[in-house]
Amino acid sequence: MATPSLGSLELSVLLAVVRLGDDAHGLAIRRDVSARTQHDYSVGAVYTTLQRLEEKKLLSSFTTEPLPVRGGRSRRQFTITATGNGALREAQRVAASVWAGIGKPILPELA
Amino acid sequence: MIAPPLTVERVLEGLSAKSDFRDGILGDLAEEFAERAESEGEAAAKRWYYREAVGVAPHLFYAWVRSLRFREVRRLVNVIFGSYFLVVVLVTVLQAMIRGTLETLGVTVDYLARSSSGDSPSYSLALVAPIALMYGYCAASLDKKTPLASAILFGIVWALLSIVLTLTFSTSVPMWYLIGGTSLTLVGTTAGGMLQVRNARFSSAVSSE
Repeated sequence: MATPSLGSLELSVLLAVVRLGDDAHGLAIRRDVSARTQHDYSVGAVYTTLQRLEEKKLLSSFTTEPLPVRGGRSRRQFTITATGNGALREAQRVAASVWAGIGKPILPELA
Repeated sequence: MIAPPLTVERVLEGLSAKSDFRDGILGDLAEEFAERAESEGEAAAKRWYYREAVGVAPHLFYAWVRSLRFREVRRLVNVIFGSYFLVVVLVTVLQAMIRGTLETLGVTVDYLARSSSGDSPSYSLALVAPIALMYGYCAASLDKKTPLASAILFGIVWALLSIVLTLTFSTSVPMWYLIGGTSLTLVGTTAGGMLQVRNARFSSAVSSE
């Protein structure tokens, strides 16, 4: 089966889910992605991405018990699937391949 | 816990059927609002909440449209026809009452007749806004699950039908009338829906503090 390709926000969100582990819920994911990309993503943008990743079977989710701090609403916890892990490995391989051989000339410019 | 602005929360709830997606978003907004209200003050937190609500609204509406199934579409068609029928009856009765009263007083009023015959676009345009408001309110009242989404959908259907019918049957309608009529329809139905949502008590999940 072909590994689904990932957009940049999809990749950031998927990596945030892996990084956060058991604490991977919407709010924590949005904070992690926003801090690392230095871009303030809206709640809607992150949730739409999470939903799309779930539809692609790269993530799975479950809801917690309702919490008073959320006005009686549940939290949605996300975990990465085997397909999601495969997509991350593929994204890493492609990125390494694309960057191969161009490190030295441009790295000082980026620093 | 400091609760987010209730009216805005209700409006957002009215945009999408109850789902994990909707509850996840609204829960996150409520949680972050409470945190911001404590650290930055309630006024700043409210400003943040309004900004986020504007950004989240299209996502909720789009998620709802994507989730529509045949049964849901059938229900919406009933809502649209039901509200259309209600408003037509209401407007006809009101029109007859106003005309009757004015004619009894000896005043000749022909603007209603002219506007309904389509001879005078500006008059009929002036009538679009309140009628759209009524349509939006009725559509939202008839739909307890997604009141605001139904009102917006009604506006979109009505606006599209108006454009198609006007372009098909009338050659002399100015462009400003089409654009103005469509905008008023969409704004009016949305405002009507929001008005209804503001008054309604359909949410059981929201804290009433």
